[in-house]
Amino acid sequence: MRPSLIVPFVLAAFAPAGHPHFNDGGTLEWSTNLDAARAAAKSSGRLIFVEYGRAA
Amino acid sequence: MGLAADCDAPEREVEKIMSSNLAGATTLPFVAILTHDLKWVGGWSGYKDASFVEKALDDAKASPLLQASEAVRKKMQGLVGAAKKAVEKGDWKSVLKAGKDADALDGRCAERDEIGAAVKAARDWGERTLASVADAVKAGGDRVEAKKTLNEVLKQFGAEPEGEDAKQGLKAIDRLGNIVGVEEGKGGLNPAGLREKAAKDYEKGRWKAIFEKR
Repeated sequence: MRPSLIVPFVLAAFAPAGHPHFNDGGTLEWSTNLDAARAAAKSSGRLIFVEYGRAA
Repeated sequence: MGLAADCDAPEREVEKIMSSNLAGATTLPFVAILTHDLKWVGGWSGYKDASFVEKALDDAKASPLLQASEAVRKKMQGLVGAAKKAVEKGDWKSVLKAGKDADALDGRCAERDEIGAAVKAARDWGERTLASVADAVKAGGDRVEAKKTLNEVLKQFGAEPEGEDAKQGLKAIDRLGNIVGVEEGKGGLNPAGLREKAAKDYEKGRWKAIFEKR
């Protein structure tokens, strides 16, 4: 996945947190909790990008 | 906002969303693009190349689910009207309120942009006013008048960052007044270092500059 493709979905509402399984180069701020992700998405009028998987 | 969901220990709601929208999918990762209220906008399972993902994201951005409903647009139009009138009057407090009311409504629409422009005008006024007060005081201007202006900023912006900045300014100007008094010989105190100490106390922000000796 090219990081630049999902930049429009980046939110600024939360303190930066990386993906728990890989380094995405800071493309997105990641949460591991649905409620936190929902709150951040709502406050900034953005979408939630869900990656449902496991560590490789 | 990214949500990294652990497929081996998923939250119940996330699992439900995935199983109902990607039924039969077996190849990880599963990907979903959702609205904040968990409406399905798009998704896929397994590896996809960049052009697929790019198209999926473009489709998501164009989804009608992101658009404001007619009911919301009607409310937004009311807020636009209120915000525009408030801008004309310089009633920035009401502009900010319209902005907050709009933030509480979901969906994208042209009215949201109009309210955003009104809020920007309010913020620009706040910044401009604070900067001009700091410049005037630094140049030896009327401190009483400066405080009057800052109190107006405080009244308009309250607990917003501009209001907090105005509060700092009010304190800084009072302190400068005391320093000037000492420098003029009031109280028989030694003024040495008073400005430097005050400047250090206000190091972060615009008010440090008013303690510079002219």
